[in-house]
Amino acid sequence: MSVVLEAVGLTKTFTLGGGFFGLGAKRTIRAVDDVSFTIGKGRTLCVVGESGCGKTTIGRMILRLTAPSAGSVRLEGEDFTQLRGEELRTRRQRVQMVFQDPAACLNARMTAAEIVAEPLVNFELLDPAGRARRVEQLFDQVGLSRGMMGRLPRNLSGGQRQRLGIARALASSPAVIVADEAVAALDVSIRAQILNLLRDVQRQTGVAYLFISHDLAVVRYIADEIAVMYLGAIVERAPARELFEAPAHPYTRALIASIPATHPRFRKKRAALTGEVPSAAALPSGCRFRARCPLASDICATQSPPMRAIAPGHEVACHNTTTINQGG
Amino acid sequence: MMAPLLDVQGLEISLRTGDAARPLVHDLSFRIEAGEALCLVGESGSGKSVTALALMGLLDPKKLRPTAGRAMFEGQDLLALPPDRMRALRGHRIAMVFQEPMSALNPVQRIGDQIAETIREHRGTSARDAESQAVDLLDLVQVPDAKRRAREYPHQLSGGMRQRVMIAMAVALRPALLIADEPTTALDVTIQAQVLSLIDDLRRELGTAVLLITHDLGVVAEIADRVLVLYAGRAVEQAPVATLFDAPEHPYTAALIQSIRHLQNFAEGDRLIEIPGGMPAPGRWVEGCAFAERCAYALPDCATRLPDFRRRAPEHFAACWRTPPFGGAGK
Amino acid sequence: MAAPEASMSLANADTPVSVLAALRRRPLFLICVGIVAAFALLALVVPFLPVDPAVLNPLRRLRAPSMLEPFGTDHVGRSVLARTLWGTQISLGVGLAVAALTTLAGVSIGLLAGYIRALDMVLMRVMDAVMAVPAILLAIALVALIGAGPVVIVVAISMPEIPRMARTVRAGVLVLRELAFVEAATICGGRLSTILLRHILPSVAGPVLVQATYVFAAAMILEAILSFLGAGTPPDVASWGNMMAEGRQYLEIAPWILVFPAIALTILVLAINVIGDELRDMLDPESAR
Repeated sequence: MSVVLEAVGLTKTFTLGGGFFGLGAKRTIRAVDDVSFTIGKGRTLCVVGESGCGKTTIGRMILRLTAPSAGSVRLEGEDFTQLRGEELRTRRQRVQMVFQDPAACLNARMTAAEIVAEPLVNFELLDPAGRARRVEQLFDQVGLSRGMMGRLPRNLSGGQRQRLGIARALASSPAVIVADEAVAALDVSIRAQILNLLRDVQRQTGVAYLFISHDLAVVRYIADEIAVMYLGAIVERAPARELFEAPAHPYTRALIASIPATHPRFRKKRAALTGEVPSAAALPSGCRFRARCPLASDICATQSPPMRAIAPGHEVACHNTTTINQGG
Repeated sequence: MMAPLLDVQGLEISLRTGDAARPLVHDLSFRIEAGEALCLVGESGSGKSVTALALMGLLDPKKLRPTAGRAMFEGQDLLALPPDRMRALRGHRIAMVFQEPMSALNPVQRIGDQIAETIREHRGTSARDAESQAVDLLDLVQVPDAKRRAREYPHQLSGGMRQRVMIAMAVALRPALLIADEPTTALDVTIQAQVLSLIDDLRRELGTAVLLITHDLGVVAEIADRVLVLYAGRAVEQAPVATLFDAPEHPYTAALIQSIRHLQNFAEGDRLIEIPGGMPAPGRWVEGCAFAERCAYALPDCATRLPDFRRRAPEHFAACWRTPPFGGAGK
Repeated sequence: MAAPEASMSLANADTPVSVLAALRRRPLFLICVGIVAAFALLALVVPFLPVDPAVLNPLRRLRAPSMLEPFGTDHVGRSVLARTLWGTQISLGVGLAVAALTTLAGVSIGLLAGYIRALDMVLMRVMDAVMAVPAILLAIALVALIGAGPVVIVVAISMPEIPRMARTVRAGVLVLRELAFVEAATICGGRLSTILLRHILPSVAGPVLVQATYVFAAAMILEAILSFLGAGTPPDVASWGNMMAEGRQYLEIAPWILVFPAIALTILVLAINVIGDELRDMLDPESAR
């Protein structure tokens, strides 16, 4: 399996405050803290976590919309974080994005065909006749009728707009697509259509996905591997099936338990997790999850748990992993 | 038999475009008993939110207005109530919680004061009593360290805390009916579970009936007593929650339930069960059943003949020409 | 959730028809466009009319308006009507040129300052410096330094207006650059020029157009003031400002010399400002109705 995307020690810090004329105390927030992962060709890594966990910032760093404070992104073996100017612009054709809100990510003044053709024009791919054929082929591929090519985004439904966004992301035949909450804004009856489409497209083109989501329920179907994030760091990483069948981190367990019931029979007696995510500006000492953790012990307050392997491809950052597995 | 708390009959809500009026909600009837939780489920554009706004008298009268029907609540028709009477009723007998609590909170007033003000306005309690009641209410909605939190401003709170504050304000005057429009949609999953269980607890403790509007069948499974499913501005199915999930009588409901279940429980190599196409745009006139073009069980007649919303079993209604089983979803 | 989406998609369904319908509901806008069009037409055809602004007739000095001379004559016997008509050319010409120059410069500076953070500091501090000097003083200083000519006057009047235009555009760009469709344009490999001209500019065009109408009107007034102060159009040219400056000395015995160009200026400025206001309302559904 060849690696198409590799993130090494990605870190993003923001400086807050300074107050009036810099008189106040400055605070550094580590929105993303030393995150590393790899994605193989044609594979899907899902990054899951609650708002503020840094998952969106990771996507933005990979797309070079935000510069990392430390660490690097290697795209098909090349250090993408070092590229500048025209070189960066041209290489962008290898990593594209599908957005959460399909209405906001499309220029309202451009027709559907113009939107899909834009990457082809910008990256100077194909001749004009070839572009027209490619646009038609992309419309077919994402299940949009060719009759919609002249329409403006506002005259398309939410599901059709998301298909259009996917067609645009595919146009330059990228190696990786970052999909940030790509189905979160869609209606339930449309969600399955788009998930199926993303999977079909992956089988046809071998594109890899970095799929970012707050919703474990959605992720289960599309993911090969899942990384669970909490307050800027990955706390557990495992193959998708294994993560659901043998979650090792108490936070992962809570996330799985919070998935709404599919029948009133499975109604929850009480919420799986109490309390809220603390502010990234005031990280607790030791383990960042300990304030909400039902298993926290003394060591959790003093030492930050390192990532360690508990099964092939299954890593977890928790001092009490064995305890959990026994407690079942 | 006692009269229901809220009895909506033949509600029609129309959008005014120029001289014409296009109905967005057609002939909608339902009732809520005291202390009951009814979920109104539908995708965006199904008419669920405008229905809630109409009941609260919050439609923008220049664009949307109820054009037929009535909504009897404690002996008065909500749709015919003059604005000042409606204002008196809102917050007092009927309270609301919205998706985005920030838009409903005053950003420059401490949350404790906001709750206390609501109490004083309607009850005429002394300032000091109202303040201590506000702290009690924050305790009730499980805001930790309520006394200190009461002195904070909305922007100092997380989304989940704000939604708790909204709920505290809503139940401050012990309303008979709480209307909650997508109250957990903007919240994280772990917080969503907390807020849903809070709403459920309050309903049991205070006996408040809940009308919860959502697009999410998972939320329905967690909280509803009865469910009303809307599609393209019409009721397609209504049933007690267990019945709805066990034996849906409408192919749309059946397909939705199958698709969320399949997402959790698929076999290796499966394609997700999907419902093809999309809902017709709101206000687009459809002669027959609006779901017919997406329905795997549609008969040739379905596109032209509108099925009645008929009783299928005691408490179970559906608008479909066919009868179950509806095994595989979609076309 | 459902309601706004519903009303939006329905309202947008038939754009060409709704534009016409919106115009029909705005008679004031149409009247003012008519007024400005009439003045513009006059400015274009005045060279072909049998009116000469320069013919002196010392025997018929300071005559009151009559059938022969509807606007009367000035202190050297020139026809006030002829001079007012010719003045239209100067006023509209200067207004149009200033609006065009201001828009071109202001939009360029605003786009670059708003999108490129490194340029923002430098460009906007220069703009602040220009704004700190009173417009009229800056214009007088420029004219005094270089001498009065059409180009100098247009530049002198434009200078103080450019920062305001640049700020309007920059404010719009700062909001737009964060929007998903602009980020999407970057990801799709858009060059700086593509992103600025194709994706951002069309969205700030509305406020720019509105600002341009105000600049247009302000420029005509400023041109008149400069002429009135003797720092504008050369005195031999028939401009409304020059006429008012000359007419001031005879205000008590021959008010028509001053009154007619003043009325013309007032009507034109008012009409253009109303057009700007109406445009703003039409382009921004929030502020309308």
